[in-house]
Amino acid sequence: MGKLNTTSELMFLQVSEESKENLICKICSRAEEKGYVTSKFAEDLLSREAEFPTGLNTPVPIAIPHIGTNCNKSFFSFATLKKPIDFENMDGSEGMVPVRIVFLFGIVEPEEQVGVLTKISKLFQDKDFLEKIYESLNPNEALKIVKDILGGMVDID
Amino acid sequence: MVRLVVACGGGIFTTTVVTDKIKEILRENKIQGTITPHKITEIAQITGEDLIVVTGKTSATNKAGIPVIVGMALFTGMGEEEFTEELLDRIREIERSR
Repeated sequence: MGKLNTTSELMFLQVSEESKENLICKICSRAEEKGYVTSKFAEDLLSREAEFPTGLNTPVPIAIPHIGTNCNKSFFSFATLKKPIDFENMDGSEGMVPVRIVFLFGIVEPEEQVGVLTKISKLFQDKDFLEKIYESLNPNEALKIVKDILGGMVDID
Repeated sequence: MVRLVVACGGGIFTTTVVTDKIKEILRENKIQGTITPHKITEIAQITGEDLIVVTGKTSATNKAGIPVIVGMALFTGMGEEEFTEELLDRIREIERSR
């Protein structure tokens, strides 16, 4: 209750996917393998992203695609990108956000997860945190950064 | 008693964080209020509320004339103080006009 699941296997570093669709499908396949989501999750997520984009001009530009349907366990994952991928801005303003980190979430019980979601939303403005994640060299290092900051709010699989 | 709506695209991430922040703003300012979540697609049809805070991309307006303000600042933290001031000003105005 109240925790987000994650694993180093859902931390993709310096990936070369060039389209957000390929990237999102890649992450969702892994999430499906781990049993976090069903096979319909990726499609739902992409539809939602198309209608309600999630690009944010944070100190390191990010996108935060997220949905609650077709998800078995609340989780988060991320991918750092070798080359930026354009996402539309969440607030609807003109111009694309050249995203360098995609944080992807499946959120089943949002009211139970207020604490961790609020904490994570603050981290999105934390330049140090974002740069550390972007520069991490391997998934175990990335996992350690997450554990150090989120502590008991995450369940590591 | 002020009646607020928080509207976002999916009703999960931003709604959760922003609703929580608004609850705290109300509590700190000893304002009684309700906060009801809605999807952005429902904005036009909402009735019986005083103010709609939207956290996402939309040009929707409300058919009953309920004002819509953009609350992204509460999610991102950028411009949060200014937004909080604006929110409180609007709430006080609503309460005065009763």
